[in-house]
Amino acid sequence: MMRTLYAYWLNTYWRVFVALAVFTGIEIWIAQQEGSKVLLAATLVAFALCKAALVAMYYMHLRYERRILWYVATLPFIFAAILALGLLSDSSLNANKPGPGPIVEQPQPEP
Amino acid sequence: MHDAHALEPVGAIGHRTTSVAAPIEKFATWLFLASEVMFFSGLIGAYIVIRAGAVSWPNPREELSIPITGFNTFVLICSSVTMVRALYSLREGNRRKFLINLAATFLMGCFFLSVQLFEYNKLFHEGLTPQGNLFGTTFYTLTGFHGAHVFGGVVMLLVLLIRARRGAFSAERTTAIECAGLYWHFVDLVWILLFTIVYLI
Repeated sequence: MMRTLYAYWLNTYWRVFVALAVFTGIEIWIAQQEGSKVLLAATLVAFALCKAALVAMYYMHLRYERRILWYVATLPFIFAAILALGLLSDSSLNANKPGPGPIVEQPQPEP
Repeated sequence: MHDAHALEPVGAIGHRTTSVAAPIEKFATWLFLASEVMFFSGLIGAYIVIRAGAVSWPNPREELSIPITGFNTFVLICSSVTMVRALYSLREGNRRKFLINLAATFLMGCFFLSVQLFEYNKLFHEGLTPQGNLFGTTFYTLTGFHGAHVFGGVVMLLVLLIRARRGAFSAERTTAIECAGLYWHFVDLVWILLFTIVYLI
């Protein structure tokens, strides 16, 4: 029984591994495409969240854990989403301010 | 349908449960990881704000090496697989497989850190420094803190490896490996997000 369950779990984890590897390859390919930056960014973030969910659900075993651990694991993400929404609205107010600009070398101090 | 909970020895010998019906060590680990989520959320949030508010921002795909880091990401994903295999080998009572997989996880973690340091050295020589501009500051802050977490994980794995060689773990005593696995998978999860946000977008 244990050996059967062990084999089942190994197959599941290998499937998740293949999914993670394929998603990573797709992400790298998408990043090199030309097109709407917003659409590309949204697609990449969606793929990243899918991969993160796979790791959390299967490798961290969250899918089979008790409800209380679900709350402990997911509540910070809700706080993070609230933080992100608050920060995004703040960043939109600063959208017209000059940014960091191109990479420049640091001026060397005079001897 | 297989009973997934058959592999979870909650309440078995060596597992003290709390009133929330989860082993106290696992519950505490998840609480710690929750605090780490908040930590990285703050860092990533700051990066998004700085970048969204910038008029111009260097193209990460031109400044950073995507193929090398993509391979490094693959190595970290592989290390998560070996960590899972280590845990299940231990639960099955296969000590040899457990030690091999735990050692493989440790070695892949060391490899990841080595590649990260190589990348830092290369970027330094190309002029991308933490104090150069905001792109450099945010890049080194985000990846540096993640690297510090990976280093902590590698040290943890080394300690577990030494203890495992001395017979500290068995099929009935897996909690430490399970909690270490949770931390290692979390480190992998954070890198998955960081790689996308910092390198690809």
